[in-house]
Amino acid sequence: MVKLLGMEISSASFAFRVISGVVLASGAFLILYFIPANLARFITAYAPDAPQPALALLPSFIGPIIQVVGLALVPVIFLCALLRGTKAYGPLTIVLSLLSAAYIYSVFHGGVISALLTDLPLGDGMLADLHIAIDLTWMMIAFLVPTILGLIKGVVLTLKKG
Amino acid sequence: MKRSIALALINSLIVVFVIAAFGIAFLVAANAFGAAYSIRTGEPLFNSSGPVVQFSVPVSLSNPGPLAVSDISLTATVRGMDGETIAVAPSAPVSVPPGAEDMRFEIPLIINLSEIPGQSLSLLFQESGNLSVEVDAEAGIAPFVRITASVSAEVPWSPPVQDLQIGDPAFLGYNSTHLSASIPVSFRNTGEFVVDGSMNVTILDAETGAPAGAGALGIYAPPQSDFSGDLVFAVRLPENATALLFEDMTFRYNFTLGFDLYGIEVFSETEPVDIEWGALVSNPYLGSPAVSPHNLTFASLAFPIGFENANDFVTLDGSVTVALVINDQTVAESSPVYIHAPPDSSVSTEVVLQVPKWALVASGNLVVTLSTGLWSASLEVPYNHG
Repeated sequence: MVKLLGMEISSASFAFRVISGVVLASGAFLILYFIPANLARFITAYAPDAPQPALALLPSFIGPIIQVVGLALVPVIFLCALLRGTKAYGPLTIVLSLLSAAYIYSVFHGGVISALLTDLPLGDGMLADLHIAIDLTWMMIAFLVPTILGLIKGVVLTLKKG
Repeated sequence: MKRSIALALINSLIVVFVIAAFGIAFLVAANAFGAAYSIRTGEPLFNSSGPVVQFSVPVSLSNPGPLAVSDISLTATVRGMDGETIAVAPSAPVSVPPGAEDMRFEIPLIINLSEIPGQSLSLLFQESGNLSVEVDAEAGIAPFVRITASVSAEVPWSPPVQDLQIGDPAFLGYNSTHLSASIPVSFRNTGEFVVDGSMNVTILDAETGAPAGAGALGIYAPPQSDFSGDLVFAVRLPENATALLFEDMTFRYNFTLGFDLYGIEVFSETEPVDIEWGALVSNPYLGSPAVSPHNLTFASLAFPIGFENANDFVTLDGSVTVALVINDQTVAESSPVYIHAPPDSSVSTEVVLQVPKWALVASGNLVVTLSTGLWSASLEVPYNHG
């Protein structure tokens, strides 16, 4: 038996929690941090014919905050998997929900993703500047709803354990 | 127990909303990419009717997704080289319903030359440079996505009238009231428009402002062609024939040269023009006569006569006669002597007069009359042979 923050679980269950935590954390690291941080490099390597304007837009879409929040989510996800059912699970769920909300907010740039591209070749030596703004506010809200529910769940769990 | 139900409900809702959010994202993305990849633009169409020039870009679009692509609109703004707005062309919003295939519409850009400020039009007409084109586009998949894009670019402009050359007037002819001349005009149409218009000249007397002449030249120059022509005009001459024949004068005019394109004046320039008019009969002289007997009662007087034609344009063709007037009575008159004096040339001839012998010792006047087809004038010279 393993005692985990006052909760006793079997060794097998503990091992399962650790493994699932590592798998989930690895997945989160890959999806929430590694791929966004290296997306431009991947596109260049695996899709060399990708239009240059699309590559130039990436830095505008994937800012450094996404990577920081994505990285911060990794240990929280691991801990959530490990400490599920313990006293810490409620506060961890709150933190996970808040970080997830922050991540979604960053991904959607607060609802409106905008970018400015300059000197795009148009042919015949002509260059153009492109300013693009994509309003995804409602889409962002759709993704934020589960994090709000997660926050409520965390509060409920915290109150229950208290 | 209640909390466990609440937690189970929250967990279920989280799962539902996560699936819903990803489902919406997938649906919208598939819809947007499907519509975006179906966009086909045709060859831009050009049409000009009078002062209205219209470009239109045919666009075809399909919407394979389940959501309508709504409020697709474009606004194109063109600014001239001086930054003035030449045209603003908003297109009517178009919506493509779900499942629509190959929906076709046109995005027109209409430039009304008559609405362009004169200075901008004049620049556009003659100067090459860059036009600033800005296209604002908007489209959405309501309510999840709304995209606005703005593209701005500098587009090189080739003027429809390049290297406009206006040459010096060339004299064509004259009559008793007008001089006619022509101005060579040439230019190259480097633009994409047909230059269909006219060039005209309005001539005003510089001192009185009264109209003094006019002329026009029709112009038609297809794109990428050279145009040359002669703008023929007539200038009114002063009515004083004596002055035209015997005096050097300067005619001062204001020439206003205008270029109309599709009935709109796109170029106008006023220049003062002085026309130097040299006397057709300059430095006239009437020499001493050579006297010889003609018969018992008459004697012949042969007068050497000459002058310079100081005019640069007009050839003087006419005749000269000499009459002897004594006490207001014409006592003798010569036969007309034909004269031909090209511009800037000298003429000398002899006029023979048969006079009564008594007149050789009388005093009077010699009246020298110059007649051309257009003008006639006389000079009186004292005669005192005795």
